[in-house]
Amino acid sequence: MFQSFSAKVLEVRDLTPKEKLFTLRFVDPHINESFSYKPGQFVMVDLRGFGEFPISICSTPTRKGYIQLCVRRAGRLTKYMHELREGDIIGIRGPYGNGFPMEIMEGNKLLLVSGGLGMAPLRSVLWYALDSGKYAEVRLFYGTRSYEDILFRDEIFNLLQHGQYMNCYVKLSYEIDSPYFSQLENNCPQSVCKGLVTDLFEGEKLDAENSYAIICGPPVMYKFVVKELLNRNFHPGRIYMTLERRMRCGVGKCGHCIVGTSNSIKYVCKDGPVFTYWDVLSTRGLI
Amino acid sequence: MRTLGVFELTGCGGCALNIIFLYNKLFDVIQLYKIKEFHMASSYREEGSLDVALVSGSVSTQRDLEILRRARENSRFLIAIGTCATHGNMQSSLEGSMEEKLERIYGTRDNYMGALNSKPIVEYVKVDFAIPGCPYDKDELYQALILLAKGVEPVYKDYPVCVECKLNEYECVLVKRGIPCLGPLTVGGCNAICLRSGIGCIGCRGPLPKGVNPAGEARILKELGYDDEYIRNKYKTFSGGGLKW
Amino acid sequence: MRYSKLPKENFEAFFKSLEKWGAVYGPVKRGRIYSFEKIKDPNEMSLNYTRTMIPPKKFFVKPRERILRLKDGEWVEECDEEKKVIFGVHSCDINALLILDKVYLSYPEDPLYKRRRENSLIIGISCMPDELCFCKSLGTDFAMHGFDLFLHELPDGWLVRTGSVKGHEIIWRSRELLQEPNEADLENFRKFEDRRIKSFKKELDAQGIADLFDLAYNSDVWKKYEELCLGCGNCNMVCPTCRCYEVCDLWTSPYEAERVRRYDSCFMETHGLVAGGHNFRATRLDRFRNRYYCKSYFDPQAGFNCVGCGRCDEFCPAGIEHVKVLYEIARGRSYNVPILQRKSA
Repeated sequence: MFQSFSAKVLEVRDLTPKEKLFTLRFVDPHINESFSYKPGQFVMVDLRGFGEFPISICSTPTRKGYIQLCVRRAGRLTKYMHELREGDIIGIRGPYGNGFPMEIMEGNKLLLVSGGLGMAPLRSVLWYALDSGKYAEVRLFYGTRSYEDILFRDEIFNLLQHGQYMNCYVKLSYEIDSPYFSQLENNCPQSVCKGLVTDLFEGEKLDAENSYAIICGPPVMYKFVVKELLNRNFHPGRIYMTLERRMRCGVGKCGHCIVGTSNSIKYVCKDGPVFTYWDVLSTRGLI
Repeated sequence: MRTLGVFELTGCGGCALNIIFLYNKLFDVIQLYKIKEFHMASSYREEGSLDVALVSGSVSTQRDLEILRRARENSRFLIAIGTCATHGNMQSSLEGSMEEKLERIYGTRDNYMGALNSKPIVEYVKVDFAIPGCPYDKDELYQALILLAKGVEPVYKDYPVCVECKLNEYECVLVKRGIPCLGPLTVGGCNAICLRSGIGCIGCRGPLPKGVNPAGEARILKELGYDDEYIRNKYKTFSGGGLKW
Repeated sequence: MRYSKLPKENFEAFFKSLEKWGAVYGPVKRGRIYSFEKIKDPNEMSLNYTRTMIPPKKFFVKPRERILRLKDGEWVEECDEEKKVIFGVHSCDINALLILDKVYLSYPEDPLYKRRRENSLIIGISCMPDELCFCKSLGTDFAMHGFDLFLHELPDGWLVRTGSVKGHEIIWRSRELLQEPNEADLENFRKFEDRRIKSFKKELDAQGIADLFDLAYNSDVWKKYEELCLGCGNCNMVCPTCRCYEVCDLWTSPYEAERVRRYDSCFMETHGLVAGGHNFRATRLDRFRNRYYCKSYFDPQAGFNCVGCGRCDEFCPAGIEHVKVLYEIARGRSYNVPILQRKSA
């Protein structure tokens, strides 16, 4: 429960000025082989001697042999993590949490709605869905602040321009102008707009009956996106969202992620981090 | 090897002495740091830039200010150590203008020594980390220095003295003996050392930055029969005016 | 259940015999509080204690403990193997340990908690409620299981209930010190229980309170308590069912570190803070409410997360009374709260 497995940093890639992508492989080949996870699950990164922090896995289990974590430089530990180089060893505990019910959603259309760093866990869903080919359609609405802030820019732009061949449709909203956006808007006027992620719903015909929506973004975003989805007749049981809390253990012991009231208490780490809108309705304080 | 400097402004000197009192752990520190300046330990001094500067004492004279500015300019990471540096301590709890104070003590309003109204160093320069306490806890400094040498920022204590008091199973003097105790308002990290001896917390580490309830504590102290003036004085002794209701 | 009688004159010999099973800890008076401490002589104990400040959970999850030690870049797990007999535990605390078991022994098990639980004997003792106890209202005033032996006070000794195989073993080995209880002993046991049941001064009508309480999420009464509460976390630290812990790494030399966990409190400002600066429980009101909702969470299988021990009332500097808060919130009315009488220095 406390022990972490040693993992070697295979690659460190700058995604934005604030975020880096770490590709890791477990030192023990046996663990590397047996480590399996679901999109939406998270791990505890153990910087031995300095502390631990929870982070969602942003690679897909369909691509084996490594895991990837997208880390924003936000606090003392992530600052240190950003100094790591290829070959360095860190500890990983996990995977924890329920993850997205990918099997239940099979055969349906997926609508991924992400804002900012929320793209990281959704990238796992995105590639899982595209790699497995078991989903009727994948639609991604991605709200970003500026051009520099876009995570996985190459992948996103590629899918935005050519995704239709894989039944993948990407739409992007931005807040700060950039010549790149203007150019993109000229090429694909349907897919790019200035505004918030909720503006991407405008004029969009969504097949609520046969779709599942998956939301991840900053805490303020959820209520607005859920409202859009409910307006478009999305069933609360078909709206999934992944949440974050200050987790210390990841396994429902340390108490930091307890949310709720006298008749419904949830541990975000073990009952979540993926919840449906039903959960939100029955457990106060979840979003 | 990193470089370290220790700077002393106006204070009792205890906070600099506390570094020497790390005893054998001081050898751990000098394994990681070359000490370029530490007046209390040695007259040896080397100019140049520092990775870490430790500054104790409050700014009370023009000389203090010059030392502080030099420490800041030459260091990449500056730690305020002790309540004088972080909150101003008792010397800055004195209210009134410099002239009035001079007149009261020396009978003249002339400021020959260029004395300044005592203030914590945080009022003059940007401080990267602060370890309050009168004196601060040695291990907290030790942890900070080791972490910095390894490239990680140290951690602030985010809980009141009450938490450590309970962890040590000390008798709660406020509840059980009606002794005025500022434990609920004061930043922990001292391991509730006063409570070990059954003395109420005097608040030497200053108030928690967020979430404290000085009005609530004042209400309790009044219940115990202490008047507004007593409470106000108790609050302002170390807090640099941070506790009001 | 098997019952035996321990006559008063055999108590000391019986107590001594427990040392075979491990180091014996019992309630001791220290200043104006009680504490579970190592006992050499049974006369050191105050067996008529009200409640210890720190509950017996301290033996299983220590207030501050090393969980890992860093050696050559790898964590090493360690656990103390001391066998313990915890003597004189009240029913509420036994029930509280059962609540903790559900957390710490559910998958994945906490290895330290599990080993310590296995290495410990729990010997319960009957008690008389004081003005703060409300365990009867929560059904935790009597322990049905969760102990090895339970001693019920009789005028001339103790009626001993056996709650586990280990308990049977102790009774078996000390059988020459024990007797079969007779009708008079059982009558005395009944009398004690009657007297105990009638002595409760505080009551909580828990019927339906889970829903009433949930409906009062936006009650104004919370605001009143936000002003009273100091946010010091004392109630959490002394609570037998609070289990939040915080973890930090400390260096013991430039090359060796240890990972330490300590009790944490949901009243701390940083308890709900996440990377990026968002705080899910930013105000004292949020945090106060969170504690009450967590304590009063009604688990259909096990009841409340609170056992009615009265510790949070006794050690709250602001004199906030748990039951009173529950009533006021659920009924949506504000009462004038008198501060508990404190002794002056």
